[in-house]
Amino acid sequence: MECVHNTVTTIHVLPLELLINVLERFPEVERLRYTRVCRGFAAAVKAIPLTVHLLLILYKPTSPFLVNISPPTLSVGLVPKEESGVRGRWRFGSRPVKLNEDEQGIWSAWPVDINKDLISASAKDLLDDIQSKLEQSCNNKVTLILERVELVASELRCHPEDRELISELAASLVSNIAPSELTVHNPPSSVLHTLPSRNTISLLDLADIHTQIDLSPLSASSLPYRHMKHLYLRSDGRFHDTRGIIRSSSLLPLQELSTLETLELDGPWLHDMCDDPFSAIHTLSTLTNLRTLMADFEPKLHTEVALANLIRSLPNLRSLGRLGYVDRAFWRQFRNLEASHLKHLSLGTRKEPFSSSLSQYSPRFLTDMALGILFLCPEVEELEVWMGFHGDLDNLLSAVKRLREGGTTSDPSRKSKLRRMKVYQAVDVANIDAQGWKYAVEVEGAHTGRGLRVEINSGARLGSFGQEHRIFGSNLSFSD
Amino acid sequence: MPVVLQASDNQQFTIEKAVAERSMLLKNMLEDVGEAGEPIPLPNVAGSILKKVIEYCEHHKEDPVPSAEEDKDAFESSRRKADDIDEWDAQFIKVGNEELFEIILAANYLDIKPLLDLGCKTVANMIKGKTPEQIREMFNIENDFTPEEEDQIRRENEWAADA
Repeated sequence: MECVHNTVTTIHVLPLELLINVLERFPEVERLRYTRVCRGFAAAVKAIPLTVHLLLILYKPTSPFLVNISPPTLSVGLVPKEESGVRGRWRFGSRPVKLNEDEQGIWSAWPVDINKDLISASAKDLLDDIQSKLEQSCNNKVTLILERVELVASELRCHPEDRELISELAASLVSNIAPSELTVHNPPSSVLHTLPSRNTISLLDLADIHTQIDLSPLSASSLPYRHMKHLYLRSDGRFHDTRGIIRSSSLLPLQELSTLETLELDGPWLHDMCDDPFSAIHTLSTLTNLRTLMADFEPKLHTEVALANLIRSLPNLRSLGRLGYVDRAFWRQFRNLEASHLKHLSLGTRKEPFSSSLSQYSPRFLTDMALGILFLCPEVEELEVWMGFHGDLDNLLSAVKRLREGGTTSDPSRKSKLRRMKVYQAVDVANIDAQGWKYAVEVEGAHTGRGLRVEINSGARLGSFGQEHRIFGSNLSFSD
Repeated sequence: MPVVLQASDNQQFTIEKAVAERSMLLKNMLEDVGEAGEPIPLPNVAGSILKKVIEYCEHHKEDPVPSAEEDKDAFESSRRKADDIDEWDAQFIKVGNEELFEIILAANYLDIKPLLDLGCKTVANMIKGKTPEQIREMFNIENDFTPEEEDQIRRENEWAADA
């Protein structure tokens, strides 16, 4: 330790190994900030390997998705996970759909040209090379964890049935790596028949779907996808097939996948993209092992009764959304505690090009939300509210106060367990009543001992470029 | 059979063997040399600090001794959650910085992992959320970087600094 000591004892009486013991307890990004304290801290931080989660992107250089990426920029591809862009939409530096609980870690998106970079590289060589470049770029030892492989297979303008999924070299690489998480962009309908290393995949993310995907391999008797737990199907509803309709019956193979815990239907799956949304919702209600279900539900289209039945049918469900602008017509469907298995709830409607004309904002949405959560979903700890550019934040603040204050005078002990709330597509975030929010979230929390963190964003994701966001409250522990 | 410990300032403390054995250093020594009854010299620990360490070991003497593997798991788990310090431990470790560092050094020397973990966790909690400037002030650290070094560090960590 080279820092100058005064007569007062400083932390530098601790040898380097003990300073490392202290600093190891911090998430990577926070720890790196402490290099600025002094040389002793810098030495301790440098001595701790940086854990980097790797997203390996195999792409063809002609892909229209990659016009802005050139290899010389790759060596600085380190991004804090929490802050990294639009969920579900890959781009360099963005965060993929993610299940890792270590949200405060660091990840690196690393594009690899499958026509050039894979000619002679084995999987080990490739990963060693990436590790060495990352170490150079951050001047720190790196522990690399390959977390996801992403296949940007082909160009949008090709007919989906005409193209190869990936080159033989890339297929061989994927086969060698045997990733447990895989993203495929613009997948052909036969994608599940042709994926390499099917039996190691626990998370499959099919993005930019523009054709009906044949899900039948999920129900094959040989169970090729027997380890799959998380399935993301994402589409903006634009199909190569001019009819642009998927058959709701095509979702039936999901019923045979008893391992499935997460299903996200991102896009207008339950709207005009599907021939029979009611039948699709019925299929969803049979997936009783689901712990997380995300889709764009619409109470006026799908009916409050069907949505309530869905919740009752899925006893293992902990996370559910996006339920639309539900009001008392929805909450009245439940008897006490029938929805108490839910811990994470996403309400409101995302404003998207495909949004249904039925997505009418209900003026009672926020008031009824507070009562519904307090009395019918008392175990909800995390709440997402999609404002869809409707309503005002004062109403939302009133709802939060109601949640913080608890139930009626006849039952003052009833308190919400809410500890995290994220608000998206809010309007007028810049003119928010900051004092009111601060009081409701921070001061009230200090009195009650119940911590709450609220993030309010004008866009679809926190920290997206050019969007306003405000954060109130803070994390109370490292685990948050 | 009681065990006698002698601190660097020659203060002596007589404690139960079970209390002494919370320290892996003392446990191994007692196994190696037997119970000779002679005071065990601890030249790296002052009497006032040894008294605190003994207080900790006496309170925790009934705790199960974790295996090496459990130690690793416990550390991984405890590094994720810093607010799980139990009430007695939290009161025990409410001391000034100087004493805190001395306790950590003693726990390290005597090889008392739970006490070392408690001390390091406490320092981590003090650091958490603070700026480098606040940390320097809190621990009386002088910024010993040259402007060039500071600039280099800033550049190296630029990508993380905005998060």
